[in-house]
Amino acid sequence: MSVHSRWSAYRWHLIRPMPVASVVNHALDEVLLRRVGAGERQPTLRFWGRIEPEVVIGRFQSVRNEVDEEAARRYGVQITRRLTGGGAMFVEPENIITYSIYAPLELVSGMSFVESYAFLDEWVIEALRSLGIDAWYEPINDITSSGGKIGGAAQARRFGAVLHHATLSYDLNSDRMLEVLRIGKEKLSDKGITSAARRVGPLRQQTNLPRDVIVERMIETFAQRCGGLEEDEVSEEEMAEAGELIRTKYGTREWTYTLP
Amino acid sequence: MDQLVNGPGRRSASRESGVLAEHACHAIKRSIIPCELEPGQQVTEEQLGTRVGVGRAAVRTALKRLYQERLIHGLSRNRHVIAPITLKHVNELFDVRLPLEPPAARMAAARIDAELLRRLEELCGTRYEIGNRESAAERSGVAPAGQVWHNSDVGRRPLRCSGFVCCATTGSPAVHGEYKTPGGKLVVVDCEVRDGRVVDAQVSGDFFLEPAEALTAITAAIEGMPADLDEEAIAARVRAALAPDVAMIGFSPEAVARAVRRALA
Repeated sequence: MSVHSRWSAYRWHLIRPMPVASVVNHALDEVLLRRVGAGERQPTLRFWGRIEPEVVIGRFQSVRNEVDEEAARRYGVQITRRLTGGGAMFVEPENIITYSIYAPLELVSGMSFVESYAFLDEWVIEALRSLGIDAWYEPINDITSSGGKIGGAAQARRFGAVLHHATLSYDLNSDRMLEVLRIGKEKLSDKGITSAARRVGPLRQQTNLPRDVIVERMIETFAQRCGGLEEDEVSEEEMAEAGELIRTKYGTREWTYTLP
Repeated sequence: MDQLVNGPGRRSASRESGVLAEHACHAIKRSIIPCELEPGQQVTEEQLGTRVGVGRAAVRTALKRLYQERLIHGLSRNRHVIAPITLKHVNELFDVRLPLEPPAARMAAARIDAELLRRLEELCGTRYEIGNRESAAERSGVAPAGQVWHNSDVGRRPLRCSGFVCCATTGSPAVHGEYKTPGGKLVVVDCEVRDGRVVDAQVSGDFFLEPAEALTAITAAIEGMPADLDEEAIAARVRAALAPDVAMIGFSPEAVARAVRRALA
């Protein structure tokens, strides 16, 4: 099966950014993943909307090791944990582009985890290149460029489906990032550099384009690859399920502060 | 001509304010370290300015640096709090002091006399209920005892310090190790060592793991293991604990083992 026909085997839906509190985004990831896994929703591409700054840590990280909670409190930064593994990110609503892909496992069948990361972000690399950025995929999960690292992806395979989400840096408040995140030397040990801030090459700096223009180009590229993209939104029922998951999981201290 | 005069003038004005901020920063720090400004005490920029004899601009610049050094935290625009000393800070401090001070103590032991020993015991005994970490005396006593200690002649002598360590840390110190697989992900191990065994172990990091619940098995493989196991043996334990369908992405049993060894080193 060719790479394009894998994508075009499904009727993809698009959910455009809807600004919500940080925990809502994480709860929605689980709800939409479950629904796609259960065949109750078409495979979907969702762009995230945000209303507040956030430090989101990976499924296997500890708040204590990753976040300066005092600094986070001082700046009103929410601390959340997502469903997928990977590293902590400091996020400000206008500085970031985040998307999630919810797909049946068959989309990545026969691929190793590492291969599937690159496969699921191929369309992003294509979109960025079409904007003049010299971008490529750096395994395991980095989207990078000659101008610096652009973003990172994370995956979880659960509920009979794959969740693949990625965050691209549009702009960067590196002073604040360095205050809120604890970034140790060991983490940078194989990068040949000493500064986490210097690693990043945000899209605004590389393109001078408004954020929306980049998002639109990404949507066009995705639609082209899978032969159409149907406009959709989060249903009321899905929103209610997300609300329940916030109450019982993503909004609880236990979820954020304890490891599996 | 104006420019020639103004240029250097501006520069020297900015140099002067830099010097003032530098002075303010050092002076405030000198008040914080011996607890003249008490941990948890709230202060305003005016109070700090009056205390160290500089204007608010210099205080503000100094505050930025003191924030970074985590000696002061901001509460609001003009309310600041001297960083409280928590049990965690004390534990971290002793993590550093433990390897340094026993050798120093051995060197100083030859010079001990009865009078110094008596004063040391007095200092430790009045502020702490030895062996009872929950005692109110200990909880409330940590900061003032530290202050008395560091201000005393005795506290400046290395022999005393190791005595202090013994009194204050009746439990085992938490240890922390990290290892990043080249081209892969970071593994972090936090644990304690009690009676030669690893306890309260937690494995974390920015790796990927399917299924997520397998982390419990990895942590359980380390919990209770003898602290002197070598890397290979630790890796074997981790590997044996994992079901065949577990996928470790960006790390491995060997990476976990290395992080454990680094924590225990």
